[in-house]
Amino acid sequence: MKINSLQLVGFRGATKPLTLEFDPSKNITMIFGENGNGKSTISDSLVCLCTDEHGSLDDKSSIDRDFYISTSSKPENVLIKLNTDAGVFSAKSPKNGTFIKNPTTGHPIVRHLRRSQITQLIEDQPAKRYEKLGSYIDVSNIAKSEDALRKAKKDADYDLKVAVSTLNNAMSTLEKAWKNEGSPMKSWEDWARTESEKDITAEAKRHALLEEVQKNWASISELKTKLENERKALSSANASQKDTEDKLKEAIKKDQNANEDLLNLLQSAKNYITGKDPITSCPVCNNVIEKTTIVNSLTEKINGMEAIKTLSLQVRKARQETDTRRSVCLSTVGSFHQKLTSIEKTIAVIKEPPYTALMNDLSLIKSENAEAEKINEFLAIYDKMGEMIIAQRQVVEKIKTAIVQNNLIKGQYQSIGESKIKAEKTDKVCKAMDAAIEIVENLRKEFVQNELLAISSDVNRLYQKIHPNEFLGGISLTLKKTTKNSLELNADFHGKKAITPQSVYSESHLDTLGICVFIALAKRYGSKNSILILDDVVMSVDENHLDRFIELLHDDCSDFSHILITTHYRPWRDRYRYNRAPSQKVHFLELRNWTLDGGIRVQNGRIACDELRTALTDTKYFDRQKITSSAGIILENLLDFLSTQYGCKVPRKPRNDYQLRELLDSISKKLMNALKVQHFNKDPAAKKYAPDSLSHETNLKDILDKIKGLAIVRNWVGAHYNYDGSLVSDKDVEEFGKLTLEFAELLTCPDSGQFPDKDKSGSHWETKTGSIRLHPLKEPS
Amino acid sequence: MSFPNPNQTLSEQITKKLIEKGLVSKSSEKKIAQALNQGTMRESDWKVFLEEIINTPKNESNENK
Repeated sequence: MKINSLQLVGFRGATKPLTLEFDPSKNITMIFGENGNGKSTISDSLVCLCTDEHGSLDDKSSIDRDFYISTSSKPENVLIKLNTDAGVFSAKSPKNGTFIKNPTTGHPIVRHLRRSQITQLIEDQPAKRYEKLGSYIDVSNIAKSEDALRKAKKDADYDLKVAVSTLNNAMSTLEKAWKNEGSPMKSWEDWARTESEKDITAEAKRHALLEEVQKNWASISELKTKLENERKALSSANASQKDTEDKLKEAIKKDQNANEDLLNLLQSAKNYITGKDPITSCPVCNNVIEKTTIVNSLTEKINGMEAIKTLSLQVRKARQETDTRRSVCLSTVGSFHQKLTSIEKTIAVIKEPPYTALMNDLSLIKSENAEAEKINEFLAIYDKMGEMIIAQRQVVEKIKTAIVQNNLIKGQYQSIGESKIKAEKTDKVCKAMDAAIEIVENLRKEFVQNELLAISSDVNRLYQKIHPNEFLGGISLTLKKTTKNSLELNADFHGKKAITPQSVYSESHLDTLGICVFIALAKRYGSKNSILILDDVVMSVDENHLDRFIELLHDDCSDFSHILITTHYRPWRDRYRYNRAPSQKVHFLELRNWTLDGGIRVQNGRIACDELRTALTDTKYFDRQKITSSAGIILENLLDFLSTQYGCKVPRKPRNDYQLRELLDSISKKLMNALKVQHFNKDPAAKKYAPDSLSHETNLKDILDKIKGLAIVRNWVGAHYNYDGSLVSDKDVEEFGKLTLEFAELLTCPDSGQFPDKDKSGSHWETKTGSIRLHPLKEPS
Repeated sequence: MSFPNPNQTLSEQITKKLIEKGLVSKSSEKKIAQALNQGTMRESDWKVFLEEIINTPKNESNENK
């Protein structure tokens, strides 16, 4: 995956919209800028876009999420947009630290290291260190599943216990029952099996019939009592009715004119006449009547018959009571008859004594008589039947007990079978779970240890690259055995094994150790889609260690899709700028002074030779001073390289700040005559320089002589104000610049931009890529 | 240089080993690996996967291997 551009709007220091264009042909971008010019804004933007973290803001103890937003912007205007050959990824409108991302998944993997993390990584307590690195060896989901497995095993153990207990209980119950039965057959198992195989359907059916007879008889007994009571009540009602009727007859006998019908007639007449107004004649005889007189007369006669009226009412009530009692009796007789029919039907089915005899008795009352009479006939044999049926109660209970016991045996015997199967199966499950727990636990521990071993091994290898022959190393990351989730970091120091490095390592050694741990992890858990961000990770490193660190980056991080380096450390930038590092593989960007109004300002960084080349080809303005000045610095760099390689003699100075003339004069005549470079052709198929395909060979004496002749131009034109400088022609200035470029190109690898500083053959120096050989290996004696 | 996450790598190793030891069925490989990787394997899931083999007649079980 290649990064094409990164656009920032309203994000942190990007107070003005900013677009960084990346060089797709180079997978390392170095952003150089002094502090406060926007380096962290750029690296944080990628972290916020591609991860759930917040970059350098995560280092702050109290994060104000508004920090994401530029002072001149609003949350809704914030935008981070990354354009890659795999698609466009954007994040906008942060709210409480969360961005709206599009797409929501599939972002490039970003591994981000800041200086503060290096310190934490090395100096934190083991538990804190585990927190930092835990995500790399995080198998928490496996641990969750392992916990679930252990819980499942616990449940299965319980199930097994229950199954075994059920089995034992059933066996014990059956054995006890067998003994109670007098221990028939050889064993309780044989007895229980035989018993459980018995078919008791017929016996159960018989029991049901006999039980029904018992129940019906109980109902009949209840109905009999009820009917007797109701008959008594009816008899009483009849007597009461007769008594009342006799009293009424007696009263009427005493007053011949009075009778119930007349009383009713007079009452009706009074009601009619009272209701008519006016009324002047009798509605029966049409004689003239006077209303008040006739109403008073009627009232007087009615009052005279009050006793008869009361008695008439009592007679009506007595008759109603008798009717009700009779009706109740008839209803009970009906129920009685139904129950009688029912018991008769049940008994008819039971073909065994004494029920056959009972059936004979019942058949006697099977006449055409009315229900009441049938009942009366039945009541005649009631006591005899009752005795026989009640006597059968014990038989019914015995059958019931036998059935219940048989069912119990069957149940327990079945339970034994089922429990045996369940216990066997659960036992198998328990064993399988034990085996599974062993596998999961062992593989988990083994995995984490192996990961840490692999990481430790790589950290060690990387660290040795930066610090060879320094008696350091033996770096190991191990899980603390006694504590969960604690990560120990140990290292060797001059023969002492497994010490805590922070106790004896220097600050810069700890820095490089932290970087090596991070790079080892990023490499192991990165991918071709990973972006490695090193955000100002180098503070102060000497020249040799810096060169080795740069070499490590180029050698070990080539598999990352992109490496973004931000730094304020100028020596790092200058190692590239002056061809001491593979500048051709790096895209340089420089950040200018940040201002609130101007935001983050970017300019393309250049290596020194490119700057000189640009100045020489500028058709609008021929900058004499710039050309000679730049050429002078480049020459000093090239000659510094040569004089160092060959150990040339220079006048001793407290500081190694040798100038152009001193360096030029340091090359002896013998060396000058022997110096030559060979350039080789590249094999297009192998994409490597072929050592047997020489392109051209150049002696350096000629060009060095020419440069020597023009070297004074650098001081006259490029460094000082003087009259002589004005006399130097543009042609000489141009010649000086071009010779310098030509000399630089003779010594610079076209691929990496590095000098031939490797002694691989023992006979000459050569570039790492094999593109250039520099002869001789040593100054001739 | 492509490394899956540690949970995924380990879940695949565990599943493979469980199958190799005849504790779970080959046909459940994907489901088990996914549940382990995502940390969603519950007690009941373990029981089901382990019982599947126990309940399978021996001939079928050998065929699965």
